[in-house]
Amino acid sequence: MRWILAILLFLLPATASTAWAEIGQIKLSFGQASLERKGELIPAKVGLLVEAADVIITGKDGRLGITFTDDSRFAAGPNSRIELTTFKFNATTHEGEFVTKVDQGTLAVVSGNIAKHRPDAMRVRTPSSVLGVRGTKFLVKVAP
Amino acid sequence: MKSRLCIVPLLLSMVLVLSACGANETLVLLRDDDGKVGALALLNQDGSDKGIVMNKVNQMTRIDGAGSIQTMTASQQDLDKDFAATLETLPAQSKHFILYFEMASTRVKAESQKVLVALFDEVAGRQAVEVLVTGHTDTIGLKKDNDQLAMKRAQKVREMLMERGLKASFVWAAGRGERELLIKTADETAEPRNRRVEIIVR
Repeated sequence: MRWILAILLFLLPATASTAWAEIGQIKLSFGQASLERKGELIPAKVGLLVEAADVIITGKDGRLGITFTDDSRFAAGPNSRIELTTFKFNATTHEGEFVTKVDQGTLAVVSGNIAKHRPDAMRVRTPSSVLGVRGTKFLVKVAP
Repeated sequence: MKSRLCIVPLLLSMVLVLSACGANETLVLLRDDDGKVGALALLNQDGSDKGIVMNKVNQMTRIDGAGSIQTMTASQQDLDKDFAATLETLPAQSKHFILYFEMASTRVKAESQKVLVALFDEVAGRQAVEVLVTGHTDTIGLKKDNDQLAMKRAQKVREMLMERGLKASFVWAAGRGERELLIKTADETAEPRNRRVEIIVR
């Protein structure tokens, strides 16, 4: 039975990224850090799977490091509120869309395969602007 | 809407109202881990181009509450002050490994043993590690047999990782048969470099 399940898992990956809810995973977590999901606050422990529409919320000593399935990487600094608005990624074609909204705080970004496949497929919104990401490593700070 | 509201009071009293008009934003473009410098385009909310593209290393753009934009070069001091703790929190870059296999077999070639050790070390050194394993074959034999062989090779690597304590849910394995050749060849061609398993450690 387990063997059959394993085989099924092997067959999945082509469609997996679009079918599965998780878009990434928390790799580093310090201080006060949580994800807001459907109105509920979830403590952002290392290993927690991240879903589209999650909001990263950190306190004054909080920091969070996340990897995404397209190989993008994020680090959120203290006092941040960052919404992972849209994440779509086809692991086979690398087509996708990744939209993040930084309401406040700091964010370090290393873009991955979504941005590599199509310029501006990855965008970061701030209160004043929209950044079209054409690669790869950059910083955003929004101070109230 | 916000920025339009700001214009009137701004004309009346330049500095006082400025800080009340919204967020101050700082954007900095960095050199990435591979030594490359990419680019960031400033777009309007509707996606149209603002005509500003950041494409120089450490280029810093400041947008104040009134929407005025300044461009400069970030000093190390600027970076340390605002971003040191955040930058420290970036997870490590994913790593890519290739293991080569004996012909028509799930046995890892002797020459790949060193890579196998490096793979195990990399996996052991990471927190909440995810491993993506993809098996491949050369073009000798039937496509359907090669799909199976590729899957068995990937499964073999997956088993070796799980024997070392990695949880099944963090190891994804797939077989691509002869669909994704590393070295392009005609059908029915023996090519050792195509008999491989590629592994991404994240």
